[in-house]
Amino acid sequence: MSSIVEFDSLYIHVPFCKNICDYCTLYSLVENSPKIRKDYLAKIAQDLDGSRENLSQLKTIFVGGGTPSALKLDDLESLLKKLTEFHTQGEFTIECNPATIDEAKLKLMYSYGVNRLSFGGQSTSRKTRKVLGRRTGDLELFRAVDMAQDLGFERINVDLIYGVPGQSLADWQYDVQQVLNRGVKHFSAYSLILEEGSELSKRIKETDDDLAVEMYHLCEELLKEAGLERYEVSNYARPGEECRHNLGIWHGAKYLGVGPAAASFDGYLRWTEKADLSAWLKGKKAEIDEISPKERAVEVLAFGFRTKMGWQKELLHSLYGIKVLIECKEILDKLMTQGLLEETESYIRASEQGLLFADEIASTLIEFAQENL
Amino acid sequence: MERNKIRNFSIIAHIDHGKSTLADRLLQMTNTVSDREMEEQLLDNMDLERERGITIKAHPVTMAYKAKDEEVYELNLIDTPGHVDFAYEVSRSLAACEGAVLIIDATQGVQAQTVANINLAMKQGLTIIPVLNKIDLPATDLAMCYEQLEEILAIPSEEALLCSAKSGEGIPEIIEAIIDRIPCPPDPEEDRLASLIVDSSYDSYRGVINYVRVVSGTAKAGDQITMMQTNKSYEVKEVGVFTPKMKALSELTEGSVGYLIANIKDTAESKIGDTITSKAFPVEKALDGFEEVLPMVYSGIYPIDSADFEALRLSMGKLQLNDPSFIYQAESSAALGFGFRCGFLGLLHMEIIQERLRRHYGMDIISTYPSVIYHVYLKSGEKLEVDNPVYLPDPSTIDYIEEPVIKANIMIPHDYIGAAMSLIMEKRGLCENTQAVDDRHVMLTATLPLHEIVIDFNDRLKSMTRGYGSMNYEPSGYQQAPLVKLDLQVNGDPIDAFASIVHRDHAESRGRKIAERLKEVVPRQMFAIAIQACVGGKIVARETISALRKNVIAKCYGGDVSRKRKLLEKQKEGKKRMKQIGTVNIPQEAFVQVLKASTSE
Ligand SMILES: Nc1nc2c(ncn2[C@@H]2O[C@H](COP(=O)(O)OP(=O)(O)OP(=O)(O)O)[C@@H](O)[C@H]2O)c(=O)[nH]1
Ligand code: SF4
Ligand SMILES: [Mg+2]
Repeated sequence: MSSIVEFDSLYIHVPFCKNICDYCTLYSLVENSPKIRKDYLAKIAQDLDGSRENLSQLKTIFVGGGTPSALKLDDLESLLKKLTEFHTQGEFTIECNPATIDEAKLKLMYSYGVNRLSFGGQSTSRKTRKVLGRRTGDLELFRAVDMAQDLGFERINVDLIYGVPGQSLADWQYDVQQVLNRGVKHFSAYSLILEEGSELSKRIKETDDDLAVEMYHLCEELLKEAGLERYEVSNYARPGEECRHNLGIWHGAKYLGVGPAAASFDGYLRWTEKADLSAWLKGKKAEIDEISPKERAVEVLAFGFRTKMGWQKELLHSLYGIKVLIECKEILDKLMTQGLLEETESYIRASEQGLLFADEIASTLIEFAQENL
Repeated sequence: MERNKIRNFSIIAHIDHGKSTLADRLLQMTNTVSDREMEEQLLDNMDLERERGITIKAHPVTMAYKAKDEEVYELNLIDTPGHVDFAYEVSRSLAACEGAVLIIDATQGVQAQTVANINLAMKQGLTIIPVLNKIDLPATDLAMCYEQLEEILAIPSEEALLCSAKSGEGIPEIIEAIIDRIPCPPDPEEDRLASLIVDSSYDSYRGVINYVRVVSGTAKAGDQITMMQTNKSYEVKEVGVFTPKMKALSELTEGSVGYLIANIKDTAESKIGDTITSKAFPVEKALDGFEEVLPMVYSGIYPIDSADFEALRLSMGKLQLNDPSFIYQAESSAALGFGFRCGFLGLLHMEIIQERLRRHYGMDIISTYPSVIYHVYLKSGEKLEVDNPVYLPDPSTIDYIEEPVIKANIMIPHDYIGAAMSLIMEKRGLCENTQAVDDRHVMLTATLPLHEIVIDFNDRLKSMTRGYGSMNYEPSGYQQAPLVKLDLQVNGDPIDAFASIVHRDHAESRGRKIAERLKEVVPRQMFAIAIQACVGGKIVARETISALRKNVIAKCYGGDVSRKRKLLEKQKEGKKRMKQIGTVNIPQEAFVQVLKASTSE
């Protein structure tokens, strides 16, 4: 997919995992062979080369999955080597699974300029991991974080999941505390979603939303004490340590996704590569998501409310002109009277309550755009 | 067939006494159905009849039999249902006959519906052949049956025949008795065509099929006929008899029973009880039709998908053709949209109609809590008839309300008197008379509110008497009662589909049940929802659905915003399919579930 855009961000999807976690619906495979990995890396390189002219202004690179760390050392090296061709001293993140990371891989990443690591921890409690069908142990997580810190990585994120059946408020507090003790500067806390198609959704039919909300608040408090502020529904960081890549995505940045199932956005069109490794390797076309420019503008507006800072009006104006907010005035006012949004002279954002209803805000806006614009 | 060789008769009895099984044996004895084609209760051909083991529709069948006198006779049998809700089928069937075979299960004796059916037959002046059935069973008690025949039915016990419809014992004697005792159809005063429509059904290719009793004249394909009520004329396409499959004949002659097809596509143009006559030579006077039956129970039937409203109307038209005791009229509900107010003869009838609409016509429907017709006397002196709780006026304007009551004859073994009495009390009834019918059975006469009967009286009676109790009832006017309208509200807005008229003392428990159920099925919303059951302005039960505390999916899926948006759109679609009551969204499914649970009680 080439257009004359300058992408702000690059995302690489690595579709391999050691095993598939029961709650996960991200596209990933357990089976892989040296041949498949080589083909995969070759295609990634080819796609990157094909978009080279659109990638000269990159501010962030994010390698996710799947599990990038599941790649063998030499495969990882060839991927990193390729990526350094596009790296511009900005944020360069790799997602790691503590079970598949080791010192050699970390060193390699460090040497190629990776400056941010995101560890999937999910839970430090064996009981909770068992419910989740997550195989990595807590000691592996701590060891991996310590090792990364020792090697000089400063920006480290850990993901945890809460709202898991059987998990108590105290369990969760312990989880969060454990990770905080590691001194990480970024923290993601995802409330469990029973996604259609996941193994977990076949086993468990319901989660306790009320308890999940308590955990959401508890987490915010604990992290605040440690100096990490919520900046998005599920993300916390020391000031200045936010994940710029993800923030950008919520704020209308243009990003290119490379790899099977990777999603891209050029400011107007969105497209998603085939979530099927062999189809993607064969060059099957990405699925294009095209809606009217006005609807797109509202969509971007809608999802931006997931961030705590919300929209700086100027930014929105620079992206989609000054009319977006005017055309949506009626529905924005309604959301404000419902207490979900709040507005200052230069910002419009979700209220504290509104963040918990970010999907409600988003779907209300999207529906409004579909019916009125 | 010559008129004097024809015998028209129905088989009547209390439910389950063996009518359809006897019909099986007659079909076999007369070689109407070969042994290979034979199956139990062969005439009960509707899926619902087979599943429930009961007859719902009257089934006609024509048989030929060579009697002892070496003459061949045409025997037109109509097997009838035994359940009280289908008594109208029985009375119409009897109008086509000169005689009736009255079956009594010899282990059970005379039951309430035996009495009711024999009264129908006697009213029409039919010859009755009493048959004591199931004599193969050890529990057979012939002495009891003879005593009951004479005491309760005033039939000389010598007239009774004995048989086992199961084993076939006694069947030849029954056939001979039919030929000997039942008179042939009377000599008509006319030779012009007059034929009574006793039943009908709808065939999607051939249109209306009329089941007729030819009283005078003949009918054949090509004849021009006129329906006397609608004054519309048609050409006859086919006439014939049921064997039990439809078998075309060259003509139907006076005295016989069969079918007549005349290419009538509009169900409204054919009316049960109407007289078919010749267009060129019409008779002057129509035959006596049927007394109109008044529904006992009313309920709303709504299509789940409002787009099916017209299809439902058409289906109801076709169904009504086959069951004139079912009536319907369009109405609308804020909660359920457009639908129909329907009248039924009882709860089983209601259930069967709903099932037939679902299965035979593929309709996806939901029905509201059954109601009877209340007489509402206003302070202004005005009187209203209300069959839908929604239309009950403001209580402050009501002087008093009367509800329909019935007179019930309840027949039970006397060990159960105490239990039956307390059931009558519980159901707000008054026992007026207790009479011994033989040395082991008593007949209770009681007045009870119809509504209580409709709900579950019969089932309760049956189970508390281990199946030995039986009941028959007839309307017996109206009686004042402390009735109130129970409203269900969500955040102060009433849900019309859940309104019901109930006895003051039952309002609270019913209100609580519905509120509890509603709480289970209404999804949480961004605000708390109060579910209240109210009588007048007073809250009698209350449940709260707490506010939803979040609506946000945490993850960002590596920037796959399209996927996220599509998920949200899907959620919204789901919401659009909900009904909005005030500010509260209620899924159609919630109505369905609550109504299902609360009407089957
Ligand atoms: N042992 C025995 N069982 C019989 C006899 N006649 C009928 N039955 C059984 O009694 C039950 C009811 O028989 P049906 O013929 O369906 O009764 P019905 O009077 O047609 O019932 P409805 O149409 O529902 O009123 C069935 O299980 C029959 O098998 C009999 O002579 N002996
Ligand atoms: S959660 Fe991560 S490690 Fe687990 S299956 Fe999904 S992508 Fe793989
Ligand atoms: Mg039967």
